[in-house]
Amino acid sequence: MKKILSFTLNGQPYEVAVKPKTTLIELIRDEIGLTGPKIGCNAGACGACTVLIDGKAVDSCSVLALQVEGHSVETVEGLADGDKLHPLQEAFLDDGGYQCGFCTPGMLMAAKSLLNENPDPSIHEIRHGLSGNLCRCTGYVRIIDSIHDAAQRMKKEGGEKS
Amino acid sequence: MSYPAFRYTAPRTTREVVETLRIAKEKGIRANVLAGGTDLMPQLREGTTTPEVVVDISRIPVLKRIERMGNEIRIGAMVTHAELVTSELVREYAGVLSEAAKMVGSPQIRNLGTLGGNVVNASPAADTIPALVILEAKLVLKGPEGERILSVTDFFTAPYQTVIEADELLTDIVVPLPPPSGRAVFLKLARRKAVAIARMNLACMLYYDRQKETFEWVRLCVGSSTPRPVRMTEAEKALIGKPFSTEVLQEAGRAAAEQMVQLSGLRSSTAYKKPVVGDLVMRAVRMAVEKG
Repeated sequence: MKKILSFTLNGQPYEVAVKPKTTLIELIRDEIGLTGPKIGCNAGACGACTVLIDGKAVDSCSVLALQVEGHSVETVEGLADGDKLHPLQEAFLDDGGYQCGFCTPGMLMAAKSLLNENPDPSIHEIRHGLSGNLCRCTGYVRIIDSIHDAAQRMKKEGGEKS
Repeated sequence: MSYPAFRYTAPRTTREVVETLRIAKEKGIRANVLAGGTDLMPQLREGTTTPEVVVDISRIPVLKRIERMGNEIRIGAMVTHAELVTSELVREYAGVLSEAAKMVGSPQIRNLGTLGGNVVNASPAADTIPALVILEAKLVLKGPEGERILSVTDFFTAPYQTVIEADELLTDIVVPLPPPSGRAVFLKLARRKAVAIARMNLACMLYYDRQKETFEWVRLCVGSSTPRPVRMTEAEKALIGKPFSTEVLQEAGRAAAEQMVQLSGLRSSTAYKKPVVGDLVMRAVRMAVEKG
């Protein structure tokens, strides 16, 4: 009944036995115990469950766990480098990019996916990149500002390194 | 999750998929093909689809290719909407399909959902289908007896109904290169700009000869408004050979609206859709001509 699934989660190889009907969000939250990604609508409309598969944002409620065989999955728990927060997380903190925090893990991962493809997005492109994520608190303005700020910080960091 | 259990298999070749489907059909086992999952997963959750076996086709490399073969572009059924948006080949030769794919769902949905899934799910509101209709795309179905190739307009029979057999797999969507003179437009009307299901959508491609001041050819398809996707032939006829003028556009809009009512009958939405389809056709044709 259960099948063995091998995949990478936040850089760590995992081998787990899962039922075919288990969704990726259920595997991550209920079986592995990472509760960053949230179950909001459970229908691919709210983005609270957003994780990255091979660097691209997906709704993890709409993926069967067995579908990530051999793939690399990132959740919000993998964003920080040890105690050092990711620039996106720092910007969300500094710029007030969250209130209740329920949508934040999904917002951060959607933003990460956007910045992977487009390191210097315009406000319009950020809005477009977040179109799959709902927030019921802040009205989005500070979230969008935070992502814009994070992109600037990352550009500066990248500049310093090179 | 509360839905019933199923068996899961992820074949590595299309031949294995077809064989699995054939055996399931023979034994009377309900099998569903899983592509991107953006339609199937909600159906499983709602209990509207209750497979005994799910056949995941995401591990078959050949279904993910986009390649030019002579005068055609071959797009594997597992190519995602996001890939249609970024593919240089698709943007160059079938730009209207890129435009349509860009309108689907959200980034998260476009990264999962596939062209093959959008076609086989056969929602009357699917965004890629009107684009495929005006591109005169063909569908390659692989079954136990071999392949058959169908025109995209012959594939759909009714909303969510197609001619695909239980033991057949859609492997490729083949797009003949449209004449380079063509200018294309895709429009979508929905309740909001993102993550919305089309109330109406439209794909249009045409060539307007500026010297002769006539429409040389026109291809028009309006989605979400007819029981199965068809070309708006009456509107096309109203344009071909005519000059670009307000009267001609209005006539084309009227013809499209009348054809829609003829095909769909009078429905509760007709009072809204009839004037809107006319305006949408006029807007799309004007935009395509203005593209030069």
